[in-house]
Amino acid sequence: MRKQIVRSSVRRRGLAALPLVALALGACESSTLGPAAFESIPCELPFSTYSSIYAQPFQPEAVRSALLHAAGPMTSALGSGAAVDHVRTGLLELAETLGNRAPVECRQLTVVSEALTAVPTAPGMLADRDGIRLIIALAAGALPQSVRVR
Amino acid sequence: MSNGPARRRVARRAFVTTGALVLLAASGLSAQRCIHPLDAPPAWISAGGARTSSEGWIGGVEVGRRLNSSISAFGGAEMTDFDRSEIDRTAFRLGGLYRLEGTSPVAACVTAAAEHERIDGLRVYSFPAGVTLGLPWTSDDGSWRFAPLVESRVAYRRATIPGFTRISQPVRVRGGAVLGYRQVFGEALYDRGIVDGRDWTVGVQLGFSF
Repeated sequence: MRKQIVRSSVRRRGLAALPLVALALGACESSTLGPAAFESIPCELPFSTYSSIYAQPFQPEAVRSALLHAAGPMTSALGSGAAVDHVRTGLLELAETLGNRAPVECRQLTVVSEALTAVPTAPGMLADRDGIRLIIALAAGALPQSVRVR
Repeated sequence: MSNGPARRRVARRAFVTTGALVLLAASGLSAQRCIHPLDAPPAWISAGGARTSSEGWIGGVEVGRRLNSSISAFGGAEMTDFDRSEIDRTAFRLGGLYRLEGTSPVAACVTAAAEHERIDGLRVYSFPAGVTLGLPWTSDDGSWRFAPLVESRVAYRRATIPGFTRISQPVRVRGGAVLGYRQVFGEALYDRGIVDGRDWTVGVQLGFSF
């Protein structure tokens, strides 16, 4: 009888540890994305994202073609890797949706901006990299002031 | 119309509050459930407020029930209103706790939960698991009780925005104390991230057992 109680107790403690085991397994899957765009607070674009330009207000459609160009040939010139993939994916998303939902686009711009910073620098890719940075600044300029207060 | 967002906001708040109240077996990652006395009524409900380092006020409701001497179920909902933004954060949580039995005066619990957070386009699913340690004290007549508590937890967090998903394992710690008189209790807490986020929360909760 006593053995049964001990076994039951051990079994229950084993069950209690299951969530910790699951967490340990989950830890094997990690992300290369930075935390800034995924914090559970309202998104605010870093000043550095859009401080390089001073533009009059314009419609988001005006920058759509530039975003597509940045996602295509300009990003291809940066080589390959996770950071480059993030830049491309973010620019394509923004080209599709810019002007629809500013808080989401703020987070996407934050991801792209961070990923672009993480792309290894090589002399041959500086022009494309700076060009993408300017297009990011233009896209940020199309967002409302409420997400550009940092 | 300009009152559309305001109406949606009110409706969302009503939904959060109602949702929290109809949860049958609930309570957040509150210390209360770990030291909930075995001779007290099995269920409890609490409401609280907190201030966060991200310039926001949190309001929440939690409900809990002890299922047997070791296991309790809990759940709750909370909403964060940020000072500088019209955007609100809503969060729902359901989970359970296993109270480790022993002869030590320290109350020890293992907790696990599933949480869903939403703040505009960001959706977060997280599965925190943690350990709570408390040192309960009860007055001779049994009417007063007090317990300082510490809790640490690690989570599997999956945050998604259109086009991107970020998976992380944040670690948080919490310290606090519970003071109870008969069926009424209050709790003060300080919660802080130590891995993948350094934000903090300071808050109080009031509740009663039934």
